[in-house]
Amino acid sequence: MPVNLKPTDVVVVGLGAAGGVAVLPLTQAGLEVIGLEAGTWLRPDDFAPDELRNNFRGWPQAVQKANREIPTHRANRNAPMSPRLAIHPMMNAVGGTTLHYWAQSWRLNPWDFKVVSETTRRYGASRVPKGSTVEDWPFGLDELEPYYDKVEYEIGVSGQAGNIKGKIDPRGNTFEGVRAREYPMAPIKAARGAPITATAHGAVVTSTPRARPRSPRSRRRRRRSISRSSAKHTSRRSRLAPMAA
Amino acid sequence: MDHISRRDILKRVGVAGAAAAVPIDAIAQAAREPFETLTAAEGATLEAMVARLIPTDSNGPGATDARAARYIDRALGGFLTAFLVAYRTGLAGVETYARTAKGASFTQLSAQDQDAVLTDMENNAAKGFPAAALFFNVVLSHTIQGTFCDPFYGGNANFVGWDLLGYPGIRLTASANDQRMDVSPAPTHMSAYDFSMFARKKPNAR
Repeated sequence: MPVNLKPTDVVVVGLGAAGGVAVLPLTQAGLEVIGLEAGTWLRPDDFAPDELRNNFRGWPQAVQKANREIPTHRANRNAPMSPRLAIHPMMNAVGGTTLHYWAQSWRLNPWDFKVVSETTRRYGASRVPKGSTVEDWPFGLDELEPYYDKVEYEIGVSGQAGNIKGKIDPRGNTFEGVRAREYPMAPIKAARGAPITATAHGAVVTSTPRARPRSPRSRRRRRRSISRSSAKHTSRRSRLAPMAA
Repeated sequence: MDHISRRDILKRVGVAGAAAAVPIDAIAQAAREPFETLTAAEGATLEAMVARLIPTDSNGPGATDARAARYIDRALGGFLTAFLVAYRTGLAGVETYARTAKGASFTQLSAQDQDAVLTDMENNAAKGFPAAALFFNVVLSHTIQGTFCDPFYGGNANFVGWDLLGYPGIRLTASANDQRMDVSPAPTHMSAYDFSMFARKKPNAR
């Protein structure tokens, strides 16, 4: 039986990396937002570091919805579909797969937006397979940069910039595209052993941007004051108050 | 089959000096409660298999010491129940093949002959034993689980699996000292569910 619910401004379907992030600016803009999520709320005590449960027993619960949605692929329309694995590390929960991703927070490289033209320029048109559907993006990294910046500052990414407005900093990733400013938090420390091994093999070592703080006492640099500027809107109660808080 | 290594006994009673004071029967009983899901005969075959898959040797304790067979037996009555029929069929197949190829129960064979039987299974070369490689791989993966899992599930007894790897165990924080190249962090010997934070939401232990 269809039920008419109270009208709302916005309904976000799925509260993962995309929908969950979209909720914040919507509520901050003063809109009433309802989020629909197939999974549950998980709390810190749900995250026991138990490899058997987490990797082999379909933690946190049998995620039937995710398992039905595992992408399959085939070489052509006559080929059999690839099998679906029994357990997929996709999450049905508020926060989606960001709940257990590695928290590496890379931006795409400038090259990623121009795969066809750059491959053609460097290696010749013959290197793009005939009939391939690969395309350049209709815009470049520069157009996304302000949004990367915004998300990095909202979720709190630790890192070391390698290219601020064209100024190369060898402490950071010198291959990255131009960014407007430094990461909001200082880079996390390197795991023991890894830099030594990598340097011995002639690799360039740089810190990885991580969506986690260097230490519990880390402070964000120059945090944008979106929350403060939108405080006047909070009189309109959001049903996602626990998340927006 | 009731093999308990000297190392195992010493570990169980804690100190070497106390070993003499503990009757051997009591040690054997403490070490080997009855199987819950498998029959005693099936369990004996499984014990003999896991003992060869991750053997107790000069590297240290193996699947026997970690009680991997107990883990599998309990899980076959729980999360792995879908595998129970495969185990009943497969363990019977191991015994049949051992008698055919080597003339005795798998549990009575020398380690060398047991390895030959397992190798034939792994290579799907065990005549008259259909899908032997499949069963071999199932038992191997469950033996690995039972040797190195969180002890909450009945395997990795006394943390022998984690100690064998040099894995210090679960830590909720890692200090700067823990992360030094020249430091091997001391083992915590704690299950995830020994931490009060996670003890409230224990999963099914079977």
